[in-house]
Amino acid sequence: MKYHIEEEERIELSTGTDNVLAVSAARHLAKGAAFDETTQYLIATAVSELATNAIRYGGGGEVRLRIIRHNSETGFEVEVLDSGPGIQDIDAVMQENYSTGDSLGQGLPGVQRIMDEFFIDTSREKGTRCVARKWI
Amino acid sequence: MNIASHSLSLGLNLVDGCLIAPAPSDPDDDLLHQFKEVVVKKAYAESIRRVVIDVSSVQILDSVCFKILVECVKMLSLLGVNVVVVGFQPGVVSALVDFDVKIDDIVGARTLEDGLDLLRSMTSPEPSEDDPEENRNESEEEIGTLAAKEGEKLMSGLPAEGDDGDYRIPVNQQEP
Repeated sequence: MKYHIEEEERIELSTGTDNVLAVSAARHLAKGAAFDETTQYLIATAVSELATNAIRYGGGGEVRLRIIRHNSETGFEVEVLDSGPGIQDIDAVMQENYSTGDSLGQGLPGVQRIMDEFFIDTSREKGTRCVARKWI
Repeated sequence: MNIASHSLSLGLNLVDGCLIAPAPSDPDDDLLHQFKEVVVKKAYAESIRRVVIDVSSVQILDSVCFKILVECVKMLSLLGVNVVVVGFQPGVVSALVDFDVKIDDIVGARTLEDGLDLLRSMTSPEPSEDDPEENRNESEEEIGTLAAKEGEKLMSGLPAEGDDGDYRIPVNQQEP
């Protein structure tokens, strides 16, 4: 499915401060696209979760935040890329209460619940790419 | 930086023996770890019994940050501190439900006032009818008298000093 990108913001991720920037940008974009206030914060939380993972486990990377349009629908898309070692057992990570580090382990399943669409592409060679979308 | 200057920068206030601790409004791991450390150290150093953690300015709390908040509450509980977390925002609550986090360790209240009321009810004894102070004194006296009578009863069954005769507990004395 092809989406028209209305707006895009890219932020490099290397420290916790970059995560704060990403969260703030996500909220700002979601607000501009007329998501209701609670959803703006939910989207920002999902972005925080993905960006934190990229910094914590992927050794840093990049987050791309987009306002997208498909037919008459407006949506928010977050794409997080890192060049870390990849996720060894993706099925286990997507299970409830699974954690490889200092996290509750609810991270990725939580993002999946918050957003309408969620995809992960991961390999040892290329690192991890997560894409999540939320439609108004 | 020492606890006093940290307390100032974090906006910690002691009101009527209760520590009001506002969580940082844009929390990240490091900031929340620092918050946890300062609050726990202050509670320990000043023997604080009640803490309100105010999260009303926090709009975004991911699962890692929530875990640190829970750690803070658990550490305070181990120090015998009653903790209430007040002011969870709708976006934070929705996210925490989506993250399916365990909330058993958290006592929540909507506002600071509700939180303080809750802490008072957790730490104060139930007030009695009419004059609670007087009634409490009376009941304490009654308990004291009863305890003294029970003590006498028990002592009556004990052998007198220097008496190496049979020792029998009071209930057995009534047996033929």
